[in-house]
Amino acid sequence: MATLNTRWWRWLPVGALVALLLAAFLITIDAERENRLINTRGFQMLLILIGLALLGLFVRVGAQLWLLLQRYRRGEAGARLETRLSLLFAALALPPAFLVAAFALRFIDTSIDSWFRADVEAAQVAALTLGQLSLEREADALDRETRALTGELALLDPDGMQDYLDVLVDAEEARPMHASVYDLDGNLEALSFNTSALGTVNGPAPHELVELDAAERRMETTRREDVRVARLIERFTDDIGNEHVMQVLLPLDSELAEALATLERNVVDYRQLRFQRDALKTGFSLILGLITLIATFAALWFALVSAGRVVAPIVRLTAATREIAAGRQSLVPVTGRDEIAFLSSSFNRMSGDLADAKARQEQGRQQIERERQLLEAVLERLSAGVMAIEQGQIIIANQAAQSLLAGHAQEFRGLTLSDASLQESPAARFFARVSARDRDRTFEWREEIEIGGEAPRTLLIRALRLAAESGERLVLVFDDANVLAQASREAAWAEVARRLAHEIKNPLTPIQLAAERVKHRLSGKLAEPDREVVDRATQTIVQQVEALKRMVNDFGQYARPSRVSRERFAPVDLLDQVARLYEASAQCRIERDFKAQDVQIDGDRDRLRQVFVNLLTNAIEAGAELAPLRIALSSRREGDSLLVEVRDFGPGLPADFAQYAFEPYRSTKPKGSGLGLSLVKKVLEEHGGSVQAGNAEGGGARFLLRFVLTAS
Amino acid sequence: MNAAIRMLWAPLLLALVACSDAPGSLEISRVQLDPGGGRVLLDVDLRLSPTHLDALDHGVPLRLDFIVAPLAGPGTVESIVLRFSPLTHQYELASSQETTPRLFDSRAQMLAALDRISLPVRAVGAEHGFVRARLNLDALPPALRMTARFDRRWQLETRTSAWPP
Repeated sequence: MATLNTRWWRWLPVGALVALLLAAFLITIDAERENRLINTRGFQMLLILIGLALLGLFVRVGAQLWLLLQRYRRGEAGARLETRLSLLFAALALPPAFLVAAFALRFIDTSIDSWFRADVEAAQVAALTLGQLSLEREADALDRETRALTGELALLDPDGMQDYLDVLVDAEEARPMHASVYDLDGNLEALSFNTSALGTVNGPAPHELVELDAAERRMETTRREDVRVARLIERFTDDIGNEHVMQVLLPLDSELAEALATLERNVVDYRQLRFQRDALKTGFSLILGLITLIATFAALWFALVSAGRVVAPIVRLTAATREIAAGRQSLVPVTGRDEIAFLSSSFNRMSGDLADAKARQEQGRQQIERERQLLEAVLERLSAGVMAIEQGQIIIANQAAQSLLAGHAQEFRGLTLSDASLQESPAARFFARVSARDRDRTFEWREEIEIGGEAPRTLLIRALRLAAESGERLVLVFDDANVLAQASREAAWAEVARRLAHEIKNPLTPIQLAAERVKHRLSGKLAEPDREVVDRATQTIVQQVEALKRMVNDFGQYARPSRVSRERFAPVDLLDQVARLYEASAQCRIERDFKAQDVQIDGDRDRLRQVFVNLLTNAIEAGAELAPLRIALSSRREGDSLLVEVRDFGPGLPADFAQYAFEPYRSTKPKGSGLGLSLVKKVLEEHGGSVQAGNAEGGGARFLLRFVLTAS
Repeated sequence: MNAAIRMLWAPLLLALVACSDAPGSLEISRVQLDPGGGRVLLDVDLRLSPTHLDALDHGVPLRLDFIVAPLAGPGTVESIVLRFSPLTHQYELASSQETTPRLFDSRAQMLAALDRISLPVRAVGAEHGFVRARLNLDALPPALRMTARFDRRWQLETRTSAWPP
């Protein structure tokens, strides 16, 4: 229907109405000009134009009605109101039009009928009778005046006839006349006249000569050159037996002739008019019908257009309201300064206010979402388990909680404390205790609980009851007591290491210098074997001081606060580079199975190099007794983690060593400081990763490093 | 009520009238060139419809046009007007060739006088030509013209006849 909105379609009714009004005007004017147009080609074109205009209006109004009906059936916004208004406008406009048309028709009917009155017709008949009597009297007079003429003419020859007629018309008392004699073939024999008003007068017509019997007289009144005359023709036989026809024309008195002509003209006009009565009524009815049709279509069209215009702003408001209800801002155009414009303006203000409020709400929601994400991130990165319980249902449980309460395959979030899977899990004691405390509605409590499973552990629980929208919420924070103890030990060791490094490192250099000075001063003065004793002793002192320095450096490095300088690099590449150094110097065979070699992390390249050095050093020392010396390195990506494995083929880790492998001063080597693996663990944790130690299948120790990959 | 019905049904009535029965007829049964030359003689069969006769008796003049078109030379239109005089109760037959109308006491006599018509041929040596006749609706009173145009009962028109036959 888009095509229906073309310009010509919009202006069609106006054009058709103008054409119809013009046609009606032309027909009215033409009727006043005695319908000169009616039998011309122009009138036919006019009829075609009227037909086309009516058809155009019919189609246009019909299409608009049909579209309105379709919209009404589909229940479109405003269709019902527009239909109601259209019907109302049409009901207001059409009855007066039809009423006027009906009265006009009635008026035309009675007006035309009133032209023909019985008394007028009776008067005309009487007048006609009078006129006919007048004519008969004129004919009788002619008959009387001419009755003796043929008797006289019958005695004369043609010349005598001419003389007789001349005397007749020239007599003083003679009336204006035209007298002539013809033979039966119509040949003129005598002619005389005393008036030229009749012009050239022809003799009797051939059929009259044929039809006229012997001695027959015919009297009639007729017209010659628009002059009404009494005419006589008489057939007579002369004394020698020849037959002749006499014709005498006597013009009537001019006043009488004029009166008779007027009378006849009026009677003829009146009778013609009476004969045309139905045709006149039909003609006027057609014109009136045409005008009524124009008025009807115009009223319908104006009704539809007016209703559409009145409803349009309401339709826009309705559509905009629906948009707002659907959560979208919508404005309506404000035109004019009427109540609708005020309503539209108010609506736009309301829509703007709603949009602002929605934007603020959205900002608040985003802020809450950001804070929720932050809280979730914090919770997920906490080493302590955090759990929130509301009305007996777990609504929050972070990853650490899931790990500390290991042994339950399902996520805790969403479960109720009475859930069977919790009651049967290794952490059943934990949940039973929490459930009991929850029922007791203890505001704040602290408790240690031992839970079972493959790795029994003691959990230190701290709980607090908080008010929430839907009641109360129990928030639990719990840690593995062993881990806490280990952390405490690590912290203590770090403090010890720091103090040792500080207290021991300072006197080492003077001791070493003093030993070397003793050797220098005494070596030349002492004889053998004393000199050899001094040299050996000072050498021992220097070597032990060097060993002490290395130990102190290790202590220092372990105890040093972490200052990680971040850069983007691939840790597997770094491992490969370190491995190459060991390949060149340690006469070992290093096998590589690197996948995801180009995966990069943000980290401290030097500290991670130290990690790889420590692990490779351990691996080489572990397999030093074996030949050939063999180390296997591998890497792979697993979800958001990069896994790097360093494996040796030595005797492997002693039993139960794995869980203490990363504590300081835990070493399987006689000369080891026990800080290498502790440093590995520390650096990995600084990088958000972890390390696991264990024995590989087929022998040897394996260390699995896990780097958590971030988006950056 | 009649007026309203007429307005509503006027177009339909016109259409019905146009298809109604009892029309008149006008035929030229024979055309003959006068041996003396200069005229054609027509045998005409004219039958007026009741509508024509009613109109004639109400003083409406009926004009018959005869279109004479010789192959050589210009064509002419000769007219014969039939009229009734209510004053004299006579029927007049006025021809464009004659100055004086012929008067008849009865309609039958007048119609009988139309059986054979002589028309002038103004072209010299027009041995061949065509003739056609019709009732001139334009000569009717104005109010009747539109009705007559749609009413078959009003229409009288011959086919074109040729001479020599």
